[in-house]
Amino acid sequence: MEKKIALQMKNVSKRFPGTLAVDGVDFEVREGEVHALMGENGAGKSTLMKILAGLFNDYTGEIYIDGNLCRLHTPMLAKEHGVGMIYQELSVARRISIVENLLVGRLPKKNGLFYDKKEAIRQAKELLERVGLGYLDPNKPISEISQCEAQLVEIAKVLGTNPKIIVMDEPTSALSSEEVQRLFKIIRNLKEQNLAIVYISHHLAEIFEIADTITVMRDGKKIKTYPVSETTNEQLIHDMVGKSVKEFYADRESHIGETMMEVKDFTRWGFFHHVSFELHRGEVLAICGLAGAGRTEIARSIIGVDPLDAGTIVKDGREGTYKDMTMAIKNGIGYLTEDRKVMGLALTQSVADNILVSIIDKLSRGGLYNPKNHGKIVEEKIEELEIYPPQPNRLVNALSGGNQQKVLMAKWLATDADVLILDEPTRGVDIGAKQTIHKAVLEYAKRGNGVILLSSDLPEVVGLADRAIILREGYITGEISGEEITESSLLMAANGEGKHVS
Amino acid sequence: MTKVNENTTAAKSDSRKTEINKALVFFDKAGVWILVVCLMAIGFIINPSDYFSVGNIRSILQAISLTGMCCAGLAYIVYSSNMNDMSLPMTIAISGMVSIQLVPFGIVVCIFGGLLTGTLVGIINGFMIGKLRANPIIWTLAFNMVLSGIARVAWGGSQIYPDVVAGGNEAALATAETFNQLARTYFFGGSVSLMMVVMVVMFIISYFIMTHTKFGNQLKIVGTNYETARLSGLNVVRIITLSYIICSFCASVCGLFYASMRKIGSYDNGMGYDFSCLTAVLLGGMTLLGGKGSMVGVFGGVLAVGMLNNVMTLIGISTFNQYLVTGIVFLLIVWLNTKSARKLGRA
Repeated sequence: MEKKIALQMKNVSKRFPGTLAVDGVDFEVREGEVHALMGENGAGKSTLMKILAGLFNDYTGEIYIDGNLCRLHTPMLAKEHGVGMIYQELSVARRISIVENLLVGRLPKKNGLFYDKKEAIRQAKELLERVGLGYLDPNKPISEISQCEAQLVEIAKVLGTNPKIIVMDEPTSALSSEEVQRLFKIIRNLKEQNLAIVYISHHLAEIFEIADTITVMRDGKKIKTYPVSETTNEQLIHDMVGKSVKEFYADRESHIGETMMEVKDFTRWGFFHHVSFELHRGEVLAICGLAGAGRTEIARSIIGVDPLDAGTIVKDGREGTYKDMTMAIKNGIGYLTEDRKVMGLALTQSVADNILVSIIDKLSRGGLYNPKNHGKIVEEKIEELEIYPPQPNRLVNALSGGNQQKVLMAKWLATDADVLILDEPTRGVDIGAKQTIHKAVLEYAKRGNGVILLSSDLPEVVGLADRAIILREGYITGEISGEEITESSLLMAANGEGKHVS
Repeated sequence: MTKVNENTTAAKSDSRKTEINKALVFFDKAGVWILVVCLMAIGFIINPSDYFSVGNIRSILQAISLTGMCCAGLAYIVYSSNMNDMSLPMTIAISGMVSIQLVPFGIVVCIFGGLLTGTLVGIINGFMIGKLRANPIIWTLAFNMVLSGIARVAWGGSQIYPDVVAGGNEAALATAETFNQLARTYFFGGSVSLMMVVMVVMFIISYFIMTHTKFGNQLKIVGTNYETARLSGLNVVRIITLSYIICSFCASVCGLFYASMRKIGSYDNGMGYDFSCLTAVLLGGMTLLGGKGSMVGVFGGVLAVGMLNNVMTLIGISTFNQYLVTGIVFLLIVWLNTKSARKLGRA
């Protein structure tokens, strides 16, 4: 039986200064359907969903919800029409309780004036029940529950507004695979309640597992819509990239040399304990583990940004720790941060400024420094990482996510650090950018440098790493090397099972 | 664009539009100078006979030179995204008072003593805000009060005059006279004052520091995104401390001329400079979020404020109403500021 159309967008466009981000898109979602929206970064899928959430008042085209023409010009209007958004970044306030987060803006009142706590708790429990969190105490602050639970609370919060359409933008980006399964169970549940769900993700496997229909976008245009059963991985990637990707990870030879860096007995109580490992020249060493296993914390302690209780680093014949990033860079260590927008890039500055930021010290002569004199380095890096558009003076926030990430990578390649710590180097970027970054990483390692890769993207680890150490709850629990690194062996080990766990 | 880039562009054959609206870029670049030209036109229409006379131009420049000196320093604070230095008024006041107090020791000690005192304020501000990450507004506001308390206690709540401090001593009286002449030194037959020259030189040096030094370029990144700067290996503590030191140094230069002009060392020297200077800096195209704008723009902002006051005087708006207009201009700028920040996706 054909289900009712819940949402219909007709010839919708949105122009930003300089780009037509969404270009005449027709998009339909039916009730009780999980509709995956796919495309590279900059393809316009997020913009399309932001239109739906009422964030722009200057889009063109028509949007019908349940057959009625709607003007979604403010977020309030969108909410009233039953559009619920779940963003990539959590929008729950961490310090206040679950119940206040769930019922924000519509706390029940008593006698028209006072906050009715009993009623609030009752409503909160009901909402939590719907996402399978019935066991949580609604009075707890968000900061005390796990990332996955917070994500589910976010869904519950949206459910509280009685939406007809729920949009999820990369809901799994911070979740481990177990948690993803839990989320999927809830999505299926919502599906049965006849909600229309738009699901945005870069993970192909997830799409094939959860979606019913797939719409592919590219360069702001809709390319195709098909039922999930009628397509394959290759077909999807082909439509997204616009060119066929034969083999994503090419075979490579690694030339592993002598030990270049040694981390000894690294401990920060409560975060990671007695972590020791060696890094060799030309090696890509992956540190794997579920979310919350302590990967980022180790990296931040290595570069001296976070405190460290015990342990030393041996590098270039020097044993000790680094007191800040300046010192780490001087000792040849670079750290590509996880979140490019918050701590990676200066978004409102130019590409050139961002690429040169870490080497200003090195390039300056007696305190004098003019970025215009170093255009050559910038152009070299732009070419090497295929940053598009190749304009050194363009502001970074006028680039797509993938190109921003390339700029971040370029910044660290421009320093002559011989060890790079890459924290989620390709999170949330499109396939094209991912390939370019991977190529750059392998080139870098080939020149005899060491790479420490922290990634929750398993295919990435499998494709790049020469060796993987497994971190579980802050302890190293195993090591996998060479050919034995596969998605399943990594997953097993990260969950504390399998033969690689010691 | 070089040839290499053109080739890669062609090879990519990407259909996404990359051109940016030329008119928008022009307005963004020209910024406050458009307003300056408009004010000039208005002034000319109101008073065509002598708006462009040497006398009127000099009176505009003379009126802005004190604010201008402060703005040349305050720009660093705004640029570093620390919003405002609320201790500007007392930095101005106290540096003037100290230098007047030092009049008996000769003009050199007197000037350097004043500058040093002001700079010391900057060092303390820089340490608290750069190193200990105190909230920049709360800290400088509180410190302003502390300074005003110190000044009142130290001088027993009275104003001081250079010639009174000098007493009967002949040499000291001569120094007092030299001090009073600082703000009254003119070149080229009275058309250019020392204050204007100092202000313009301070702007030129600031422009050079911002664009051509390591510090200026690193400050840009610190102002745009503190975390990014820190995780890119920049010495953020040193950079922020330095910007406070420069700001307070500029304020103390202003304080010297202020005291010299009024021939008084007093607590209310520099009163209101915290906000009037911020108005000019923001009008010049810097934003409260930092990392945006240039010294050229700030100079335009200072000029625009001066011309606005000049035009208002020419029209015959009373002083009280001038406060009202300046206040409204300030609110308008803050609104535009937040609006453009939102457009840039930063708020």
